[in-house]
Amino acid sequence: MKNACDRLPLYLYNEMDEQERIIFEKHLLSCPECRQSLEIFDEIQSAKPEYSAPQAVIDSIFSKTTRKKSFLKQPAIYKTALALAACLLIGVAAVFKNTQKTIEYSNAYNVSPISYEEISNMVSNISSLESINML
Amino acid sequence: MMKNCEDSELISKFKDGDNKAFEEIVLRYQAQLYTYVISMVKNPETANDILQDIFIRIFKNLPKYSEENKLKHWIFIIAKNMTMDFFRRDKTRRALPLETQEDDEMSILDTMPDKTPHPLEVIITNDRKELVRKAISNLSVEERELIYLKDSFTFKEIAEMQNKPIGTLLSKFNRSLQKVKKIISEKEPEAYNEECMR
Repeated sequence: MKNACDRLPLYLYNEMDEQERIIFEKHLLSCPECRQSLEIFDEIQSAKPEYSAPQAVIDSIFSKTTRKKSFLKQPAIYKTALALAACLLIGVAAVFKNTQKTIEYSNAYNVSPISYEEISNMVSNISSLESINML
Repeated sequence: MMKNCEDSELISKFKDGDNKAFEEIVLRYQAQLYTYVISMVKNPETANDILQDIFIRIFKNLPKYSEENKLKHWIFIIAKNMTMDFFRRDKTRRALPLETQEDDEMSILDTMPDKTPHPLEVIITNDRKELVRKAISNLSVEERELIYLKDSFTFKEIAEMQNKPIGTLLSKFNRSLQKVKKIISEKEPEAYNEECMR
């Protein structure tokens, strides 16, 4: 009756047609192994835990799918803060770029600090030019 | 309102832009899917993450879903694939010794709410239940999967989903019963013998 024992799961889940069920129940009377399996099955069914997802998980699913907010639907304060942050970023980038240009200019023309002596010479040169013009 | 809708109606409503229809699908299937996933991965936090990923994938793919197939089948195929992805990513988990996995399962049972009431007068019965649960947790992933899928599908449906002959599933199920029986008899021989004498 090995084949009959193999069909036990179908009997346990009531997935046999009427005729097959009657035949199997006759087999059950003469098969202690199947009767033991039936008892174990009942125990498994009553011991098997059933869980429900935590509410926080359900809420998280909704917030990532049906209740996901697009940028246009964000609150005004969020959008303002984001705009300010963008302006700040653009400003910082502009200042940084300007500084870079100044450094590049200094490097290109090899500008070096001027001493007081050089300034004094320049001033006296200018004064002498002015006196020539006066003549 | 939505609770009375068939799955196919919910799909149509969702495709017409009604997000509440999707939320009803989530509420309708979350418990079955969560029980299925947690029984496989044996870790509530991992199960939480997988469940979220499953529903996000369903949400993204539902607009393309053809209504010819059954929604529940499709959802469980996604759940199975994503749970198997987890096992592929976390191969070391499967290499854990059996004792460690048992401990994990018991810690889940301690932390998770169980719908079954546990009154003091049936404490012996509950000990027995714990033993049976422990025995189930010692089954292979595939065997546990089959036991939990059976809550939602017939053998014929599972055979179609997994593209396996129904005979293979029946053998696997019988083997699982024998394993549980063996584990119980090894861990609680006296109680088991008393059960058999009845």
